[in-house]
Amino acid sequence: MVTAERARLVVKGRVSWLGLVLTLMLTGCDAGVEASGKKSRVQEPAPAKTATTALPERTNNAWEMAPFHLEDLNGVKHSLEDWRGKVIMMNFWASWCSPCQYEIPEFVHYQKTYADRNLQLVGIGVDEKRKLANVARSLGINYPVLVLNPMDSRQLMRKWGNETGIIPYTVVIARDGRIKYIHRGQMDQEAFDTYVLPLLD
Amino acid sequence: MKFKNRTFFLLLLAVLVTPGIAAGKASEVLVTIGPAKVTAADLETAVRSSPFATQFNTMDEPEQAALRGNLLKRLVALRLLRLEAGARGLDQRPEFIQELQDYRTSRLYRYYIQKLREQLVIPEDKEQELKAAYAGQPDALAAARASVLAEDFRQLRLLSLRMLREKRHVEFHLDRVSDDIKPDTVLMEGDGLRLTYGDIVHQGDFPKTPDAGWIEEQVYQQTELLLFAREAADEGVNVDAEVAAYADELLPAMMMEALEKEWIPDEKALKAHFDANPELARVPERWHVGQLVVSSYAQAAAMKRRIEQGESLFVLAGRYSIDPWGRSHNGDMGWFKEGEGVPAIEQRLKSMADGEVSDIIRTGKGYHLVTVIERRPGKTRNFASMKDKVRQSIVDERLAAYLETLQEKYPVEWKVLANGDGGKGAAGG
Repeated sequence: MVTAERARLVVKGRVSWLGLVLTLMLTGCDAGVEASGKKSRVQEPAPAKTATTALPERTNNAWEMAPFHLEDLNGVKHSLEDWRGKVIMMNFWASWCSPCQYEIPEFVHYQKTYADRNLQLVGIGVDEKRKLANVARSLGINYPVLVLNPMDSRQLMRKWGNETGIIPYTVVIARDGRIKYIHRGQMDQEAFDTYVLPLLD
Repeated sequence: MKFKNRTFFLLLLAVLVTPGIAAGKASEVLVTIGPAKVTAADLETAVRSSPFATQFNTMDEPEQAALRGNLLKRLVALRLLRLEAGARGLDQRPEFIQELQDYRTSRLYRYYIQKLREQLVIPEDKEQELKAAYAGQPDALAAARASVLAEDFRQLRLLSLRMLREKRHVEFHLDRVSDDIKPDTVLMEGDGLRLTYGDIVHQGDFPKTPDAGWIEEQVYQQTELLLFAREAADEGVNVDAEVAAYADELLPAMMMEALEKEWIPDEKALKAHFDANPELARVPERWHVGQLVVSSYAQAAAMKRRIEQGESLFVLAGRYSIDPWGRSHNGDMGWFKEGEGVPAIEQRLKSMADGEVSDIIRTGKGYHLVTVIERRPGKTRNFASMKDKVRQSIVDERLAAYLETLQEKYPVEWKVLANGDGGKGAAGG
């Protein structure tokens, strides 16, 4: 029998920093674990803030950063510059990551709904190309997915402020290149409405 | 992943990989089982709620189709067991009826609690304050909101509870808790409500009367559960569909339990099966294999020479192996079990020392040089350490045959197949 006690546990809402850290751990995955098969270093404690716009490159403008070049699922090389002038949501994800798969259908919906208002989703798949392509097919991804070799992923992710290699990780870049928002973990509708929608045409 | 009955799945393939199943035609009936059916939506739910839901999306199309086919077969088997459970009257058992009643109460309680929670709103000025304080930190904002609402919710819940206790004239008789308490001793009574000691402490659960404080706590909690559930029911909340779905899950499980008792009445039956199937106890030898495979003997011989002169088999495999998978993994083929590989190679693996590079082995795929990176020797397990496995083996064996007989009783028709056949016996495995 489901007791009231169990129900009560669920509604207990005392907030603690521990709870917050736990939330972070639950909503995101750690790319370092999967990519190398084992943890290569002691995990730094998760930062208290879920988002930041401070990048290591001492600029918060995407177009002032050193560009990177990656192939998409069709083998075509791209850099972020290809979508310069649009509002870019750059989403780091992997096929093994469940929270990534939960948010991708939302992203597909955003891309479909807001394409004419110059929204551009760009997936950065930190995984094997075959698996990425299968997920793209299964979930009907309607935006480019660039393939990032997990072995080389740390450096690029760090450049974009992702020190701990958390996945999913989404960077919102305004039309002028300014980084307006970074979301660690699964992105919800409220975050999209608050931080992305106002940037669109 | 391996699937038996491959041709059956190939037939299913065309239908099972069509996104239309997931999208448009959710109500499409894939299989009828006597009076029951499995729809495309049922199958999709089964895929999405399975433990491999995430992994499923990463698979190639044929693999996805095979998995869908496998799940569909399971759903058909569950329907068959559900029907037979009904025929055997398992749904009339008191413990089943009690379990469903408890489930209904807990669902109604949840609805009521949810309703209470939805009544709470953070005042607009407080909301703005929080948003400003936690700008750019959605998780912290959500936590702060929950913290604001938690105290309000606690109070609202207590208030509702007090109100409903008065409304239903609830009286507690906790003074009756003593060592000689009987199962029918009433501990709480109200309009249309009643809790006895037997409701709280099921017979045989405890060797002696539990602590009085614990019993009191249980009575209060159960009372809250009953009051809120009753109120939700009076407000017209309908949980029939959820309860029916729960019954559909529970009955096949009860049926399996009953069958297991029939098939394995005692330990002797387990031991007999263990003795009759010695291969069950056999844990095969396993090897972590490195391999280089090329298309001619001459090239293989050249490779062998280069390895003997100090080059790495793995580096060469990454460059020259004609097996694309092996090449992309630098010759690291992963782990193999005895009986999984080519016999000619396995024979060599068994006799080689770890780290040694084999002589040239010819197979239908080319000329191989192999090495054992690491090995786990085979062994034979004893009965005591593998009873669960023996039990599972009996169940698997008997269930397949049993499902066949159920299909005589409840004809299974695979609508999903274009040519309409191939379904017979498919709910086995």
